Amino acid sequence: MTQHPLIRNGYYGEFGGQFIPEMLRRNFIDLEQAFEDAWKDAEFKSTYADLLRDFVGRPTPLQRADRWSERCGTSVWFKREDLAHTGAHKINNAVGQVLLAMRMGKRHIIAETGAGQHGVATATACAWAGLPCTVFMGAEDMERQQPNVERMRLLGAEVRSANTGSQTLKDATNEAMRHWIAHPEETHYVIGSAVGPHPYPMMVAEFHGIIGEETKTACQTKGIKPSHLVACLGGGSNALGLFLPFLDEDIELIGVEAAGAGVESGRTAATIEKGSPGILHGAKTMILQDDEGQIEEAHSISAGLDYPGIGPLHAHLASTGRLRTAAAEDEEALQAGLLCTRLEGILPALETAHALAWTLRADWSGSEEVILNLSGRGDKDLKNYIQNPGE
Amino acid sequence: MKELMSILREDNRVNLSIFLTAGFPDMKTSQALLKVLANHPAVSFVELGMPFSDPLADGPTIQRASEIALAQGTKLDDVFALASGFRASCDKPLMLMGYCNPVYRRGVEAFVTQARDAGASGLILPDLPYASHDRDFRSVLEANGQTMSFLVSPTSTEESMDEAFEKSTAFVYGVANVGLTGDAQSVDRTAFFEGLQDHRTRCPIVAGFGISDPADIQQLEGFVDGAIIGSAFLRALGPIGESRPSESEAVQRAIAFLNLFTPHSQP
Repeated sequence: MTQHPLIRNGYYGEFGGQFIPEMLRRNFIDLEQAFEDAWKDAEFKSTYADLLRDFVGRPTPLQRADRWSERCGTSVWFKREDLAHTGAHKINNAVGQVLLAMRMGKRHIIAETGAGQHGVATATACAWAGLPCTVFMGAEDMERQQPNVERMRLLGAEVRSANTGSQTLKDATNEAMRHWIAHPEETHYVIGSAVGPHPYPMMVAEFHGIIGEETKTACQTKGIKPSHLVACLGGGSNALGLFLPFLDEDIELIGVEAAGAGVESGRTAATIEKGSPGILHGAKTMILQDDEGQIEEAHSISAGLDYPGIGPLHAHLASTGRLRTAAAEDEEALQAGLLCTRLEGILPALETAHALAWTLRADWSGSEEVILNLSGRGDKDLKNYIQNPGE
Repeated sequence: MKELMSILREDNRVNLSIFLTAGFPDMKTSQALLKVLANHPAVSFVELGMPFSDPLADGPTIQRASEIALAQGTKLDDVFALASGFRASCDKPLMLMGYCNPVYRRGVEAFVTQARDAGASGLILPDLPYASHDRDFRSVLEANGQTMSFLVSPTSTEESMDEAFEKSTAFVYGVANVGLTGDAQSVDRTAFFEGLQDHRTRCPIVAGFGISDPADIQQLEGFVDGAIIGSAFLRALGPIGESRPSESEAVQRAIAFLNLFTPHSQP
């Protein structure tokens, strides 16, 4: 992993690093070493590959979205991560990190969750592994993602509400980090997005790299020459998973952030578009902050994108121009999600709906081959969809 | 103002330091509390906490205190104003303690200059990596006569132990418990500090995290040069919730708390 050309001393360009209290330093030294060893170990990789196939249900299909393509005026393909076990891409990383934790002899798994998808995925992996699991979730998110809270509990996980600050993903992450500081030896913290101190961003990206690898294989089989890869950006795990194997190819990468009520509305989660460089959750990245360096609250209808930071790898790729960013507003995303349901028979997660929304308004010539990461299914968002049934 | 390192080395006792979140429970009371700390004989030096929205290393008490301070609009300039007021009333050293992001946001040079002008002795930034310190802080701190203190904990590697004692210029902050600020675990801290004694000649050691009463301090006698009490002091001011103590209540409670540490002297 340290061999990855993007990494230098734990930084990705000027972003990344390890801004952590001393009490966690040894954990990060151990984790970095353990992942590096595991990722080189054929046995670990084959166990992981077996699990992805038999437990997660991979590979997921690359499906041409015919009616969506017609609506966009160009060719659009869906990478169907919604069909992965538990209904989103999150399970790839959860299974990988839980395997790693077992290898490290950890006895307790903790995780943070926003929309609940990562929490469900981690609780699922822990049930499989027979490891106790505690999931931290913002009190507000517990309210708006109630079905996922119940699912986690059914899976045997303890769900702890984070009642500080905005009571969303940011605060759940703080609580999980604090728990880890207090219980460093027996615990492994399964971060759910490509955020946090190094090596998390790259490790999470590597565990999701299977999304891009499968896409590459499917494109070869189907004779597709992708011109654009599109994904929603919260912390950025699904996007990195798709992008990672394509970084050196002549393909446009588009990350769609959540504009909330509008990028300039003051109620947004469009971190790259609206933010500035700063330090959050142990990494230097793009963040939403005020003049005093206090972290601002993010706003999005989607609990999974409602985060005032972004993975430092994305901050780096955006700063070098490799990644192009856009933003979709709450209402636009909702309508795109509903349209996808009617046109394609796929109810997408509200997170994914942001990426879908962008493809509807992008300026296409008609000759593109667009791969959109359909990162998750929308059952958890039924309440929002039902309250806003569209036309 | 006395130099902190020499105070710590001067005599063979555990110097008491008190941590107060700037702007808690409000600016005026913070000011009054700093006056108490300036005058009380039990207190050797002070940590002034710079409130941050996402204090990763802090337990519930300091989290809540930071939240209250920020909700009332406490700004970095207010923190410096409090430090200046403290400096005008005594010659005890004052350390600014907080997180990296607000410091970088202000600009390291601008921040350190302001800290110097406010009469601070130095900084404690638990989330600052050594490499960032070397690159962004070291020469600026030196040029302005400001110190930096790093943390060591029972989980520290030999390497980072070494780095902490080499790079700290006031004291090394020994985290007595594995845990957050304010965690009340009854652990034997002496084993950890005993292991640090070989390093102690390089830089004084001050213990913190989870230290709350005279018995804790007594336990550390002979092992460390100072001890910091934060959460327990804030809790002593009154319940941290919706209702905040009045200024006079807070002052009285602060004095009563500090008197525990000097049973025979009057403030």
